[in-house]
Formats: sequence, C-alpha cells, structure tokens
Amino acid sequence: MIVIHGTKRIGALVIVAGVVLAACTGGTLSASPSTPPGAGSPASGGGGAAVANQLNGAGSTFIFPLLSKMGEAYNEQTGVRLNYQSIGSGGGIKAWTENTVDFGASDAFLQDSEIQAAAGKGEPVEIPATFGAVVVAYNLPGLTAPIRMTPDAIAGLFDGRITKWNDPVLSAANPGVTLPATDVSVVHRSDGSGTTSIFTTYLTSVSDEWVQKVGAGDGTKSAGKTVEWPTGLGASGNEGVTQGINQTEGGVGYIELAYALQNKIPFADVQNKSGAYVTPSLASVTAAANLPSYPSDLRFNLVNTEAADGYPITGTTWLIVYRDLSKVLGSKERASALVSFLWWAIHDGQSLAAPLYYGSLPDGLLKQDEAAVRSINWSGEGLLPTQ
Amino acid sequence: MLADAALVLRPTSSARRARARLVVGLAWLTLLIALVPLVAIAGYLIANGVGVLSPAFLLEDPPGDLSAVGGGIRNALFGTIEMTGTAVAIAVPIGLLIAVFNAEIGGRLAVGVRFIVDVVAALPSIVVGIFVYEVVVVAQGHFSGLAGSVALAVIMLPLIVVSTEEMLRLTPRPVAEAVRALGLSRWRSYASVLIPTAFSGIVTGVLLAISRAVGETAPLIFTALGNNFFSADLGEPMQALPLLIYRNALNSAFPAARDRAMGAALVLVALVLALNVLGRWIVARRQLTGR
Amino acid sequence: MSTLTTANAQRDFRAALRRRGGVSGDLIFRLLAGAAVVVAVGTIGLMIVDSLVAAAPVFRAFGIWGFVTGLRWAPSFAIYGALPFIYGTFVTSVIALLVAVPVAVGIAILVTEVLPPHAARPVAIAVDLLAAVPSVVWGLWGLLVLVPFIRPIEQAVAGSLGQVVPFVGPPTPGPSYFAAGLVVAFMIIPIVAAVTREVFATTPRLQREAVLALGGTRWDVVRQVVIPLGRTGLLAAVILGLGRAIGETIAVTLVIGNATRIGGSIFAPGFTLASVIANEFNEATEELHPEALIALGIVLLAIAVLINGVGVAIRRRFERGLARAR
Repeated sequence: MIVIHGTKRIGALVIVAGVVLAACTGGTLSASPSTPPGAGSPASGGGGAAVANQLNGAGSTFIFPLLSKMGEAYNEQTGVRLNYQSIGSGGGIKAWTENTVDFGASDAFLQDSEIQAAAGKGEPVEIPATFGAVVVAYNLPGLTAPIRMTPDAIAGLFDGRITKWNDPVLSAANPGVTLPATDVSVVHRSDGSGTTSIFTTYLTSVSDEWVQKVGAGDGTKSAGKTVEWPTGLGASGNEGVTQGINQTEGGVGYIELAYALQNKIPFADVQNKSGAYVTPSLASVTAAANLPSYPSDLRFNLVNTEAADGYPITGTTWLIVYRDLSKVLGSKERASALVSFLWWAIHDGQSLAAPLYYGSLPDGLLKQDEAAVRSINWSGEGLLPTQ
Repeated sequence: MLADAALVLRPTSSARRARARLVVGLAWLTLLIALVPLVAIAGYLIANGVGVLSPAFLLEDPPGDLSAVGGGIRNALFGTIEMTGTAVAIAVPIGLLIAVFNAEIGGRLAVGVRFIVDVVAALPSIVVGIFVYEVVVVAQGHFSGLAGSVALAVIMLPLIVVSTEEMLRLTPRPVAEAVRALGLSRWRSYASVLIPTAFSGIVTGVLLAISRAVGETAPLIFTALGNNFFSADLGEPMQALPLLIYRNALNSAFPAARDRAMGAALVLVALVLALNVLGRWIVARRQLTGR
Repeated sequence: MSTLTTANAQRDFRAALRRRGGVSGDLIFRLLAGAAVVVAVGTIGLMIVDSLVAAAPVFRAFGIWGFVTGLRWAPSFAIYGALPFIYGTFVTSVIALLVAVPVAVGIAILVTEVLPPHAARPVAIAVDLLAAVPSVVWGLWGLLVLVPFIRPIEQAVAGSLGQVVPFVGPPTPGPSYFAAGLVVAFMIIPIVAAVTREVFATTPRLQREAVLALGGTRWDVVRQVVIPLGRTGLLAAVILGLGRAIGETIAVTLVIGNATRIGGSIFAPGFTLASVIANEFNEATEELHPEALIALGIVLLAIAVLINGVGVAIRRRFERGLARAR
C-alpha cells in the first residue's frame, strides 16, 4: 500500500507544480521574443510584451514627485499606466542604454561617452521636461530665518574646509545671527545622481578650490553624476539625503526643492552671480530657466544664472528616448503610446508642475521640444497622430 | 584531569558561588541583549504598520500617484508569491534530484557536487543577483519576474539539497533494508518509499528555504527591478514585498507611500514567521507520530 | 523449504519486478538525476565564468593585487581599488562577531546548563525568531531607530575616549561601521547561538556530572568542561556567523553611511563589498565601473568560499572528535 500512496503523492505534487507554473506564466512569455543583438529584427524593448498599456521608465529622483503626478493624470485620461522607477539619473541612463525601459529620465544630459555606449541601438533624443531647484538644506534647530550662503561657503561646506557651523565664512554672510558651534555633517548622494550633477556643475563654475580638491584641477572630474567626495556620508536618492539631513543635527545636504518643502526642512538663500541672495522658489527657478535662446541639441546648463533674480542652482530634467524606436521597441503601438505620452508631458502635463514648485517650459523651449518629439520615428515614419 | 579535580575539590566557598551566580546573571543579560531588538522591531512595525492594515490593504494595488493615501500592496504580495512559487517549481525538482544523485552515485562525483552546492550556499545574495543579471536579464533584454525567480531559485537550491540529503541519510534502517530486500529498482525505491518516508523533513527544508527567499531583497534589485503596478507577467518587471519596502520605506517625501511600506514590512515578517512556525510544527509532528 | 528454493523465489520475484517496466523507469530516472546535476552545475558555472570574463578588463588594468589593495575608488576618474570595501567588510564583521559571539555563548550556556528543559525550549525558539526578520526590515529599523539612539553614545565615547584611543574617535554622523556591525550582530546571533547550543549539548554528561560531583559550581562546569570540549565546535559556529556577516547587504547599506573611503574610526561612515555593489550596480555608467563592481563581487565570492571552506574543515574536525569521544 505504501507503494501506491507514495507514487500518487509525488505525481500529485508534480501536477500541482506544473499547473501553478503554467498559470503563472500564462503563456505570455512566448509573446516576448528576445533576438540576438544585430539580428536586424526588433528587439523585445522595454517591457517585453507587445501590449501598449504600460510604459516603463526609470531614472531621476529629482523629477519623481512630478512624474508621479503626471503618471496618475495620464492614466486617468488615457488608461495608459506609467511605471516609473526612481533609481537615480545614472540608473535611468543605464536602463535606457540597455533598453530595459522605454524611456530614461536624467537631470544631467548625456555625456559623449554615454551617447557612444548607446550607439549600437541608435541616436538619443533628449527632451527637457521641467525645471527645479537644488537647495542646500540643513538641520540646525533654533534658527528662525534661512541662512545666507555665498558660493564659497557652499563649496567649503561640501569639500570639508568648513567643519563647524560658526565658521567665519558663514558668519560673515549672516550678520546678526549667532550660528551654533555644531559640527558640520555633510550628506551627499551615494548613487549616480543628476541632482549631484547639477550641484557639482554649479560648484565647479563658482569655486576654484572645489575644482582643485575634488577634481584635481580637472573641471570634468569635479562635476558629474558621481564625484569623489572628500567628506560626508552617502545616501540613496533625494529621499535618502533628506532622511540623512533630518536625523543628524548639524547635517547639510543638497536636495530638490519639493523634498525640502514636503519635509519642512530649512534651506539656504544662495548668493547668485548678480550678488543678491535668492530664495529658491518657483519664481526664481523660472527666472533662471528662461534663457534668451536654447541650443539646438537641447543640452544646456542653467547653473550660475545671469538673471538678476534667478536662483543659481537650477536644473533641468531630460526625458531620454531613442530616435528610431523601430530598433528598440517591440511594436509600433508601443512606440506611438510612448510618443503620445511625451507630447502630453510637454503640453498638458506642464500644468501639474507649478503646484509642486517645478518650472514649466517657456514658449521658446516648447517649440524646440515639439520639434524633438516629432523627430522620433518608426523607421522614418512619424508617430504622432496629427501634424 | 587530576589537576582539574584538585581545583574543583576546594570547598564551595561563597566567593565561588557568587562568581557562578554572576556568570549566570551575565548569561541572562546576553539573552536580554538578543531579545530587546526583537521586541523593539516588533513594536516598531506594529506601531507604524498596523494603521494601514485592512483586508483592502492586501487586495488593492498602490495608487498610481504614490503620494496619494490609501491603496494597498496587492502587487507586491502577489509578486512575492508568484516569484517564490516559480522559484520553488525550479529549485525543488532539481534539488531533490541532485540530493538523490549524491545519495546514489556517491564517491568522488558526489563530493564534487557537494562542494559546488556548498559554494552556492556561501554566495552572498548580492553576488547571486549579479550573476543572474549577467545571464538572464542581459539575455532577455529587460528586467523580469522570471529573472527574479531564477535568482531566488539559486538561493533556495543549496538549502533544499542539503536538507533532502540529510533526510535521506536519516532514513530508518528497517525501511532502507526493506527496500533492498524487495529488490526494487532505483526509481521505484525513491519514488515509492524513500522520498515519501523523508517527506515531512523535505517539506520542512523547502519551507525554510521559502522563508529565506521571501525575505530577500538584494537578488531582486537587479533582476525583477520592481513595478508600481500589478503585473502577473513573469516577462515584465515585477514587484515584491521586500522591494516595495526598500524603495518606499524611507520616502520622506510621500508619507503615504512610507506608511504602505511599513504595513508591507509587517505583512512580510508575519509571512516569514508563519512559514517558520509551520516548518517547526511539521518537525514536531514528525517527532510525535514518527512520520 | 530449502534456502535454495527461497533464493530462487527471491530472484524470480526481483526479475519479475524489473521486467514490469522497472528498468526503463530506472534509466529515465538516472538520466533525469544526471540532467539535474548538469543543469545546476552548468548554470552556476556559466554564471561564474560569465562574471569572470566581464570583470577581466579591470583585473587587467590594475592587476589582481593592485585592484585588491587599491586604496581609491573613484569612478569619475576611472580609478578602482577594493581595499576600502575589504576594510569595511572586515571591520563590520569583526564588530558583529565581538557582539554576537559572547551573546550566543551566553544564550547557549543559559539554554543547556541553567534552564530546565521546559523553559529552555521557548527561549531557544524566541532567539531563533530573530532570524525571521528580513534584512530590509533590520536595515530600516536600524536606520530609523537604532542609529539615532546610539548616536549620543557614539558622540560621548568619541568626545572622551576617542581623544586618546585610536579608532573610536570622531566623526560621528550616525550611520557608520559601528552601526552596521551592531545590526549584523543581531542578524547572526540566532545562527551562532543555535550551533553553539548544539555544540554545548554534545558535552559528554559523564564529564559534566563529574565536575558537579566534585563540588564544582555551574560556572566550573562551563569553564572546565563545556567550553574546552566544545572549542572546535565553537570555532565552527563563529566561522559560520562570519560567513553570514560578510554577505549581509541590504541591512548594511541602509546604516553604514555609504562612504567610499577608509574611515579612521568605527564611528565613521564606510562601505562593505556587498553594500557598495548593491548601491552602485544599477547605475554604473562610467568607464569600467560595472566591470569593477563585478570584480568586487568576485573578490567577495572568493572571501566567502575561503571562509566557508575553513568552516567546513573545522566542522568536520569537530564531528570526528565527537565520534571519537563516543
């Protein structure tokens, strides 16, 4: 009797396992062929399945609050879901390069080496989508007004020259305020970050000491998504840095404005090129973002703005896709869905920016953005329904 | 031993008794040190997570806009179950067969296989994640639940092989001899007698492997990636409980997302505990009933 | 019945069984088992080889020794060295062991020597429950609760002792080698305690009772019999704990402060091999960055295999010692 029982038991197990496995995979695996590179036929693209009701993106934590709201609104309007993983600009660029997502989001435009790395799959199209402020947030209980900081002070804080909050460099810009003798505790990003890129590009353009200490004199090394930080602890994402500042008295770090406001963390008024101390806000961000003209390849820096009332540490987030989607996405429907979303993001989606303190696209830039989105094609065919 | 006896033969003075009591006191202190974090974590999770718990929490997906209050963790719960289930479907048959192989073939070949299984057991889970990324994700061209399942299967495999081998070794002698006496073929002897006899032990081993896999985050970061929406498709990126917690629990920008992550942490710990308790209960029952 | 008849009967019976399709089942079975081994070993082998090939450019660029002893990790300069992370793994693991081993031994003594069996069981189970907490939850609690809690203590120590004794001075931002070591200690206590418990339980009753009969206290029993006889097993438990400690990833990356430098104090932020990989892998786009991370993974693998090998050897010595004692 044992004999029959045992075999039946094992047989049952196998059948159950098989059923579970079949149910789980549901045959959808067969719908996502992955072809060897260079075979000439379309690769499986961002999501694998030919279904076009979910778009996958990854990248910047800087833009995450806005993209989150955009995704919700777009879903309500069109039924298409936006699955965005906030893993940092570096991660976004990598995912886009390896075609594991449909679009990447980065606060730093692509480096030549990154364009080179993606050349096998095609040419990139970088679409500026919004603007935001990188604020210098700090944790010093007891202060009633925001601290004023000169570019030199900021560089000194983050490269380790200034170790106590009552340092003369800081006190000089804040007459009448008694700064405490607390130790400075720097919190920076440990992941490849567009926010870091904006911040360090700013520091590189305003401080020779920064370039010396962090880049060994090389401006391309003292600015970027990752730099060799001389001091401080690292945290993951804007969220991690916010957390780090919040729980360490004397902490200082650089985060996007929305994160500081949502967590009620004080941030500094920064002295801009014209000499005025500017408070980061929608107005000062917009002033800094309003360039007389933008380069044709849409790659530009907004830091250290010339605008008299502009905030000097302003940044842009680019949405990055391949120009010829036939080489990287599984189906034309998916490509159309992606392009429709991008078109929506630079038009209707912009209305969601201001409540979150992100800057909207000025008219001049919008025209160039439209041209960029229109240039995205499927083997030469346009993908937008109209025009 | 004579020297030791001489030491011990001194009359038990109050000083020595006091020292012994001190040591026992220290031992109790160490127990306290070990249990305080356990209680602290339980308290912390309950305090922060119980607020979001409800039947809806387990049956709804997170809202599309992560900052919105409400919603649940259905996608993560389902993803964990599906990926772990797939991992079991991969690892258990292979693990059982490898254990049987070792028991049958023996000799140098089995030693070699055991060594490799040992190496896999020693792999830090992040290294498993990298390996599976290189082989599965890059080949597929995208992140996927399948890659996550493979990573979990790799982590579970050594646990299953070792516990099954152990159970087969512990086959009661009367059963082992009966199998030989009956002259059953290899296949028959395993399928009909040896594995069923070791069944409850194997199930315990599988349960413990599952409880380990369910809590793993590192191997899923580069394979399943995560998904804010519900997806049952193993070909797409998939959400899992540890991933949801890792990505959202520190989200100071969105308290609603953080609350959901805390609730998810509570659910995850409860799940792992339940699996552990189940495994123990099966062992206890076996000791009682002998099956 | 003559034995000859019985033997014949047995032989016929066996032959009959085999003819009923037992043979072909056997063949398929053997093929399946062999296939399983080949698939498993082949996949693992493929993964390791693939990663070695991927990491090769880094080893070629810096030399294996150069990479392993390299002090600087600067992706922006395309300079990679593993030493800060090997150092971090070492420091965190040592701190973890320094906390976990005495605690585990204490618990084992409690369970095997002090408590009566009906009390010992629930205590053992309670300690094992520590293992049910997933790594990510440990990390979260560690960052949000433990780190703020110990920071004032760290500051006090750094401010006083730290002025004279090396390695315990400032800075004390909170997340640090020490915080990570503490969290990892809690994570490995259950497994070290479980193995130590088993080791102590195998102490021969004869010798234990001999000491008691001669008027020894419980402490004498522990000091003179349990620990000396269980020395090898204890070492095996420590090695097991160490193996777990070096591989902890998520909990560590949340509380260690993520600094790619060698910190001069245990209260300074740092990185371990496992946690730096988790942190940087998903976005490594600089030149040689992903390859360097895979190379770190191989270094970690090598260390893990080495420790595991030592552990297995010690365990076997212990089991042989046990067998001999019986």
